[in-house]
Amino acid sequence: MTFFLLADVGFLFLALLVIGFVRTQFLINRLANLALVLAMVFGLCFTVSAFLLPNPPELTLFSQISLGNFSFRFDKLSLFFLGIIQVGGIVTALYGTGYLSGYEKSRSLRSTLTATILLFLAMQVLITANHTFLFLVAWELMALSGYLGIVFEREKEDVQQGSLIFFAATHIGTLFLYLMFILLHNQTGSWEFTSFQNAHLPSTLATTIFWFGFIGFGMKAGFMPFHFWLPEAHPVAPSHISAVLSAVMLKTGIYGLIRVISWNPPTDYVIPSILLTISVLTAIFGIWNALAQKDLKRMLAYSSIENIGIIGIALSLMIFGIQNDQPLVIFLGLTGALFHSANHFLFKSLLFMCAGTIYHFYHHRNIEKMGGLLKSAPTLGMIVLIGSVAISGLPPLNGFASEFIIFSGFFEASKLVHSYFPFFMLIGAVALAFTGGLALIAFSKVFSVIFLGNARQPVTHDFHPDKYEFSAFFILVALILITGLFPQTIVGLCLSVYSELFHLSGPVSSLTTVGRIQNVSLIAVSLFVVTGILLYLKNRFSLKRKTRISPAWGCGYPAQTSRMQYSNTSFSDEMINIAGEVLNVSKEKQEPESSLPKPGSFRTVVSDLVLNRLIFPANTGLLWAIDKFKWLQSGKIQVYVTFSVATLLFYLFLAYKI
Amino acid sequence: MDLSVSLQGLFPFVLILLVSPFLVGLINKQKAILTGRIGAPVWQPYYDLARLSRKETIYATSASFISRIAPVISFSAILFTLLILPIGYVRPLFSFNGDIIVFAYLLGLARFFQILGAMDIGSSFEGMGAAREATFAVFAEPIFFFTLGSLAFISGHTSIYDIYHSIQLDEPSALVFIIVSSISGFILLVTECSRMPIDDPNTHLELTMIHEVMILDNSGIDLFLYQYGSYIKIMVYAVFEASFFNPFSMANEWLGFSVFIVVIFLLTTVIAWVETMIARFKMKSIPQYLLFATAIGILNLLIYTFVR
Repeated sequence: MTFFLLADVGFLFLALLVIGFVRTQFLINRLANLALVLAMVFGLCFTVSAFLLPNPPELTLFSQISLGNFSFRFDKLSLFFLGIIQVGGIVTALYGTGYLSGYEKSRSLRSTLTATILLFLAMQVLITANHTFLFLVAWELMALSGYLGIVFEREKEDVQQGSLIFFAATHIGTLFLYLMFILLHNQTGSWEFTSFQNAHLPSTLATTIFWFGFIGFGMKAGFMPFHFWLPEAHPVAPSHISAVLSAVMLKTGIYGLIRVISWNPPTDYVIPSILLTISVLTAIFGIWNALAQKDLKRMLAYSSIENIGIIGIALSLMIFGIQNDQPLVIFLGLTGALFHSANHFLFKSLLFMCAGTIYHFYHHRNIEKMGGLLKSAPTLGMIVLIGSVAISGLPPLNGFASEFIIFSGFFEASKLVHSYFPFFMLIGAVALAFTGGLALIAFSKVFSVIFLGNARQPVTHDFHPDKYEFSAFFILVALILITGLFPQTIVGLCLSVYSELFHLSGPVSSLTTVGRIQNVSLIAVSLFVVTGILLYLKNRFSLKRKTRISPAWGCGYPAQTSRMQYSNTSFSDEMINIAGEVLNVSKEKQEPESSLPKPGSFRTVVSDLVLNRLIFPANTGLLWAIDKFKWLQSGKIQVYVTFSVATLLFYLFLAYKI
Repeated sequence: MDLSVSLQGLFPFVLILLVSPFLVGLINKQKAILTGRIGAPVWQPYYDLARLSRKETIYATSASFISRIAPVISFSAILFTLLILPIGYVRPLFSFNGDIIVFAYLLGLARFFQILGAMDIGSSFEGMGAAREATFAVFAEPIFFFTLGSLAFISGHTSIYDIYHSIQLDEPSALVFIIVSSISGFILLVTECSRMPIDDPNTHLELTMIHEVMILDNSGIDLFLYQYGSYIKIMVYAVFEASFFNPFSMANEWLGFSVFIVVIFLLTTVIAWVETMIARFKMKSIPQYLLFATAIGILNLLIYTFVR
């Protein structure tokens, strides 16, 4: 087992060496990604074998007297997320090979490949770290390498802005993590994660620690109102990096939240209610914004916000369960969160990667100018279709299975009757259903506008599938089908995570939940089979009958053009108008006036509410305020020395006083 | 699973498959009578289906293979809702905790592929219908969850079969539940099955339609699947509605059975009456109407919360 771990780290370093010493871009791209795949495969072997052990293995890097053991601890929660990261690494490397091969001649791939490898190293370390310092170093490394990954096309202005916003957001998040860890250290006197467990914190302190953790990790995960960096950073990164950031890196935030909750479950009764409210708002806000986007990758970024909201709903159910001492609710909440994290990883990496392939075909990301791609790329179309059905949470695919578990959690939690409680739970459940409905519009729309109908702008070149890219797609599609048709496998894993994390041997009732999910599996499989049989029968039937191809019914209007098709914005226009204020929608209209009309134009602009109404104005205010202190910057060395001395004296005074 | 139980579960499945076109014929006949016409025979939907299955299938030039698979997948999803739905005391083939969620999401799957099938034509008419269908469905979803969800929360069951069986007539609040649920159930039926005042199943002016315009370019076996699917959907919602009156069969099985039949018949009369008397709402006011229906759905739980 240690061998697997060494092989994992060894191949990562080998990949770095390859990037450093190999000359040709072609070889760098192939070899570094190959090394990453091998590292991740060995890592996955380790993860699987460690998951089978009864007790979590530990690995001490070195000990230091005052700071404690710098160690890794591979408990089942860590291993679950480690598995997600490693599968993510395999598909990213495969896809990245194909995606970057187009850039081999035009620009250096060294920095982006280094960033990818460091990103996976950092994520693996932070998920398994058992020491605050290790964790924070890895956390910072992850943020830095993520930044380096985003700035691949660094000459573009939107890339610069998006990466900068990411960088700023992640640092604000880290600040709160520092505060949280310092508070925890003050209480326990240790920097090790295992000693944070059950620290018997006073209630107010536990609440403070929870909220610091929520801001710190929630900033990374993308809870509203900390979501603003996602739609800026994800679209501008190269697609395999977007997939990692959105599908894998956000999950480190979820991991952190689960950790913080499992150390010292918040005792304040208001916390889960607030968390539930925030999560519901995050989910609805995210998907409603996704509905209004024209940029394919920006739309996917907003959809990630929605999915983080759904995971947050499950987490708040888990806290409800902990506070009311209901093992079944804890189990359903935790399983919902873990399962949906895994699912979101699968379909979101798939969709982001497909978005990259679509981007390389069209050379732009504007959905409004696409259309009819299914005829030239049928396989890609099927893959995106599977991803879209899965992410809309429809049976028989995996998105449905995890939402089913969260719904079950709501129904179980409603049995903890306090006067208003079922009412609250019902609103949560309905909000989840409403989110599902909006996701259905968003993804049926995106798929239809890109793949169906006629091309909105003429495309002269053919679509050439890349074998590396498609191998990554096939892995993900296979995993989506397996987890969708047989969700009990993942639920079984979640059960062992649950029993280790909460030191409970799974009560009988949670086993019935595994049984309940088998019914979902039964329905999914039979739906799959029956639909297949019906398709076959229909095919046989229509062979006997006549079929004919003819132009679509034009309602008597002969001069139809492909631009008259329903577009992305017109499809969702009604939904956008309903939420116009929240979505920050503005419509710019130039009507063709006068009797000899000039060309008119119409434009719908949707900009993020938080970023444009809160962050940017606040930033402007801050700059204005700082500007008032400009006189301090006189440029004279004497003045600066005086400031330093004054500051030192001030600290001395403080130290003396205390 | 026990064989006799499975056979019993298959019985309502086959029954609904056979009866559902008749229900639509019944609505159309009553509509004709209310407007002073003789109208087509009650069996007309059967003739229509038989005719469609014989006709040739025409595909649009812009259509891809999605047009060929979408009707089948959407039909298959509707068939599966039948397997979850109980009729009276007959236990459906699939009945387990949480099947109400599966029920709602299967209808979502059917809708997803109908939208894709419509958008595949690449015509602005189908696009318009698909956009409207998608938008109104979002507002219909909360009605379902508030109505059935609140009953689930009250009864503590999450399977449709168990929920219906937990409604007890001897509780004073049961009557309120039945009334409230059947009102919101009716609005749900009207929305989901594209009837007045949300949608007009008869008009052939493309700009005003929702469901009909989505299937404008479908023909032959594809149209057969869509039409049959929509007949089944009406029947599903009618049974869904009539099952709220289940408690009457507690006292006497034959009384329950007759109440069931009478309720379904009354439902067709009400649909026909509404379609004769009321014009279709403006598209803009439909979401408001649906939100109002959602509020009715909440009433159930409010009453329960404050009566207890």
